[in-house]
Amino acid sequence: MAVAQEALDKLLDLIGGDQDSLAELIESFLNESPLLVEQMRRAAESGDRSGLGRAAHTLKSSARDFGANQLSALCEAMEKSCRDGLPSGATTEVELIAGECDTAKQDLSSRLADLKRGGSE
Amino acid sequence: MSIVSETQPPEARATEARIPEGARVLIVDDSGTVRLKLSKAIQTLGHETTAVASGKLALEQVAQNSFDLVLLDIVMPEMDGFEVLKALKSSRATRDLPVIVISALDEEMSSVISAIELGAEDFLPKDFELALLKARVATCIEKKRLRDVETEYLRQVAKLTRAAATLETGRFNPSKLGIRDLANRTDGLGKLATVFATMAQKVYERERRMRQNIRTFRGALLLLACGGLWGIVVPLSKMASLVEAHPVGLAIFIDIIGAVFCIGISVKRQTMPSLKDLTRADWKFILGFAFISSVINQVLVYWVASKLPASIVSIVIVLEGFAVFLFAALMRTEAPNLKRFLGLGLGLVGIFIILLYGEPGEMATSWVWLVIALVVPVTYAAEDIYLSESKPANIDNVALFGITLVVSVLMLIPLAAFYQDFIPFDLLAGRLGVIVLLMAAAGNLAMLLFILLISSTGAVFASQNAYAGTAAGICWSMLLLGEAIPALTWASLALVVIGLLMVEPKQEAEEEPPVLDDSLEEFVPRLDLLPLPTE
Repeated sequence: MAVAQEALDKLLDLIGGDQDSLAELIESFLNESPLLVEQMRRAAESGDRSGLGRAAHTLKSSARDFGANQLSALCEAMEKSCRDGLPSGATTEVELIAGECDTAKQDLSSRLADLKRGGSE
Repeated sequence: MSIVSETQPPEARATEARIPEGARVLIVDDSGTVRLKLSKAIQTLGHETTAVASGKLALEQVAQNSFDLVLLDIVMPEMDGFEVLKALKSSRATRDLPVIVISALDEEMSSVISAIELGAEDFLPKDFELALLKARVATCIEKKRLRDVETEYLRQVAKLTRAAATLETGRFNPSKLGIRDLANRTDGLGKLATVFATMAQKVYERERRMRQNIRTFRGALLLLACGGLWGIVVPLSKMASLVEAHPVGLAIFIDIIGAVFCIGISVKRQTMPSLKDLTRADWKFILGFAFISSVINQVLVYWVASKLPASIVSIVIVLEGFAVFLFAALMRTEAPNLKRFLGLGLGLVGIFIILLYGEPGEMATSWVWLVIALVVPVTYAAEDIYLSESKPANIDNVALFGITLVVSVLMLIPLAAFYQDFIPFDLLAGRLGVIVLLMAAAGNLAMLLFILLISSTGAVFASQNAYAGTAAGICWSMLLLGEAIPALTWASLALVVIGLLMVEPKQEAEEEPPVLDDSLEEFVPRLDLLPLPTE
């Protein structure tokens, strides 16, 4: 499982237990995360260290919220290494993150589908 | 990634409508997902949210709307959370707005410390628990509300202080002290404001009564002085006629002396207006005043006094008060009622008893003159009303009277020439000269005092100088001319006085200023005692 169920339970609790709101949040993540990955990719190519670190920071927090712990850990490592200078294998690292992000998105998408099905029943 | 500001009004408004005490929270984060998460979480707690994606938009929101709390992300592109914090804390309008910074606690402790040093109220980790969010938000909002209450309290204390400073100046309007809303407070300050407002009202009433008493007292003094001086004019005029009767010539000399005197004073005091500056309306008034005052009244009194006993003329003049009241009632400047008309009737009965039975022997030969004498109070009253209604306010009284006297002399000269009524110069060297001087002094001074009186108290009050004039006239007539007053005349005079008391208008109605006088506003000093927000 790319996504930890307890994180999603916590998130649901935080927003007052409303399944529709959770679905909305997941959709927001599904839309926003590819944009952040794209931002990281461009920053790594152009050597923009702070831009890369910032995007990694944002994705790290969101990923943690949705239980994508593997993705979150990768982003955290990227953010940390950006503090000392542009990491040597930045573009490779970003592709690794992109792959993990896709995995998390697939998992979240199926959960979203479940949520919507559950909501319509 | 496109970053846009987004607000959540529909649910938020509904939430606020249900929970009126719900706070307004501004959420600042560059991640749309985080904004959405925070908004939903805060709305779950019953507050209204506005979410923006950048520091710049956050400052715009704060400038336009009022918030109770800001949730601020530190790591943002362009303008980060530190810069937003600095901007908020450096402005007087927003320095009291509490800010909670949001940070990933694990590796950003130094950022949190920096933010708190910059004035942030608290911090919240990115992966916060609901209970923690609830506690921190509640604490911040509670603090903010306490501070708001404190600021409002200090503002009201400042208001009360300002009101006290105003009270100290002595000239104020209690309804304009601006502490009415303060008195509605249920705490100690409210009690203080209530006591203060009551005290201010009492002080105001007392001051107003005092001012009014002073005005009435000054009016009464003027009235007595004026009447006393008038009173001597009639017996003196009688004495002049005993030397040789020249009513018009007498008026000319008296007016010349008065004119020289008044114009001299005005030139010395530099209150004499340039004749070019006088308007058509001013000249119209002067011509009218000269005609009524000198050509009609003066000549008529001197003429009548030469034919009737001075005491009788004085008694007739008392009717001036009745006539003024009648005119005022007709012009609807004074409300007539039954009591006043009864008083009027009583006074007239008294006068007719005096005229018909007072001194039968002498009266029989003077019937025509009695009727003519009755015209005197009427023309006097016309003069009173004319003065009070038409006198130009922008010209000094003494100067105005001086100019009027010159015009009077110019009007009287053709009349004197027509009737061959000039006083021969050789007569002036003797006893008549002294009488003319005395008449000029008394008559002109009385007229000046009368103008002053009528300007400050109105025609009805001023016309009461006739009573003093009558009393003084009778006394002077007895003293200077040895005229005897029969008992019946005294009794009838008492009847006249009772009648006058019934007619007399209420003094308060004459001179009471309106309670809510806007002109007092200018006495309220503008002190900016509002306190700076507390640190």
